[in-house]
Amino acid sequence: MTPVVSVQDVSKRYRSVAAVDGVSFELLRNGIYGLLGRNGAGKTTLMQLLTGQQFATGGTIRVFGADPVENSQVLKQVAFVKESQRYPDTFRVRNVLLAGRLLFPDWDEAFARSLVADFDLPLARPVKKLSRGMLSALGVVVGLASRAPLTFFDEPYLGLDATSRQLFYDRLLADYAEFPRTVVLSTHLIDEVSDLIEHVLLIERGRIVLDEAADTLRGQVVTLTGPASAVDQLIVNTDELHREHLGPLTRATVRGDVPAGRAREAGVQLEPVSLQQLVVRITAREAVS
Amino acid sequence: MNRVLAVARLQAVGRRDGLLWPLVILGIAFAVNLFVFGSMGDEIGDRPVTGGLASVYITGLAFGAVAVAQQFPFALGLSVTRREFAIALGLFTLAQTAIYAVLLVVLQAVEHATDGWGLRLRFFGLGLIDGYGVPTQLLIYGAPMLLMSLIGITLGTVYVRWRTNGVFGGICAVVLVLGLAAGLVTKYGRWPAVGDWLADQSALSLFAGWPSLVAVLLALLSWTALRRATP
Repeated sequence: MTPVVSVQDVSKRYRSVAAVDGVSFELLRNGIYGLLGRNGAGKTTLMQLLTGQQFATGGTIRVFGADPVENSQVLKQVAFVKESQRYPDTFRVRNVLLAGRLLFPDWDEAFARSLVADFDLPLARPVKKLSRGMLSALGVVVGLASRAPLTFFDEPYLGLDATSRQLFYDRLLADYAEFPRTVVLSTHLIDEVSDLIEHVLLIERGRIVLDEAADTLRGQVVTLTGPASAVDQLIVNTDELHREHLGPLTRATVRGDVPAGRAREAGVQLEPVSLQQLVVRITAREAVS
Repeated sequence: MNRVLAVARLQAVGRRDGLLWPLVILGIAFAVNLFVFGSMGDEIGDRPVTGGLASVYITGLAFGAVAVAQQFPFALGLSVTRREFAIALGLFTLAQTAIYAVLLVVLQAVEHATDGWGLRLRFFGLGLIDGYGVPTQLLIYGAPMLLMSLIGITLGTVYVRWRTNGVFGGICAVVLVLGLAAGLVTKYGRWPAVGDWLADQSALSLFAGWPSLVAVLLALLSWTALRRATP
């Protein structure tokens, strides 16, 4: 598969702080990526770099084979929906949809209208009079209806209630099945999107600490609960992420291969770890080291 | 080019309400003037001049600043390049200037033909341009409008690039430079020379030539600030 985005050793420094620090990865055509990480880890900066809105201090970025900065041919295939998007004071909801129609070549007006109806957005209302949730919904509508071959959603759910968030996930998945594209979803609500995400990119303090297919990851990380000695024997060849003690029992979260048969014999219980727990464990460890 | 025209169209959409307001204000100012001078009857002196026209030029400045401060982050958020945004804004500003210039020249001609709306009132006319042909008149009305828009745009680009501190810093720098220049002229007693120089300028160079030159310089300055600005 051809990479849609290819990033090599990219950094973004602000005076003494490195918001993005020597990052390398690729995004392939047609896939849903989860860009995960804590507040201030560098997720938004990374997406701004990929969309030519920020200037990298080092490294090379290729989007559809070219540098995205000031590159109209590249950028018109890219949509970047962010929580902090600003709109002109005089713009109404319908003006924003017009902007989407004029600027994105693959824009689907009928789809946009149906999404507006789904999210109950008032077309004639000035954007600055929208509630927080409606503002997020407007961003989601633009991002989905743009059908941009590369679409970024940067925490698009702020203020959205659970029903509307589910609506977003459902519409995204249905439209993605019909019109495959590369979607990057940056979010803190990891459990909600864990079924959606096909590939995980985890960023911590400006560095990519995990770049793995979601399915591979799910099988890789397990929690073992049992007597300390038995647990220790089982995890010798794994990467220990976390350990806690519950009375006589030890509970360890590890990444690697744990033989299920031997665990059963030793009276050690194996449990899968959710994507969210996994992210918490890995980022917590990165923060210590 | 498609995208440039799209961005220019979005500028127009954003300013649709705003385009009307200066005209409403101008209309009210004009109506008040008509009323005041109409009620003065024979007491009107020789060709009264009003300052009502200034409102149009001041709104040009305000909208220039808003056009950048609000539309730039929006446009970049929708995958527009800085270059596309700048060209679109330039086209829009030129079109807006042309519309105002034509409007003012027409109103000025009507005023002239009706001997100051029957009251010998001078609201749209400038007096000093009466001897010129229409193309020159368009330049004399248009260039100051262009200059005011560019002052606004420059403030807007300085804001998006360096935020509030940049704007205040820039204003301080301009005040310092102008103050220093005025101080030097006073110190060396050169004010009469400055006065002579201004008096020697034709209306065309004073109202069209120099403003256009400054507008071009400000356009270059704005682009320099904008090309590295982030939304």
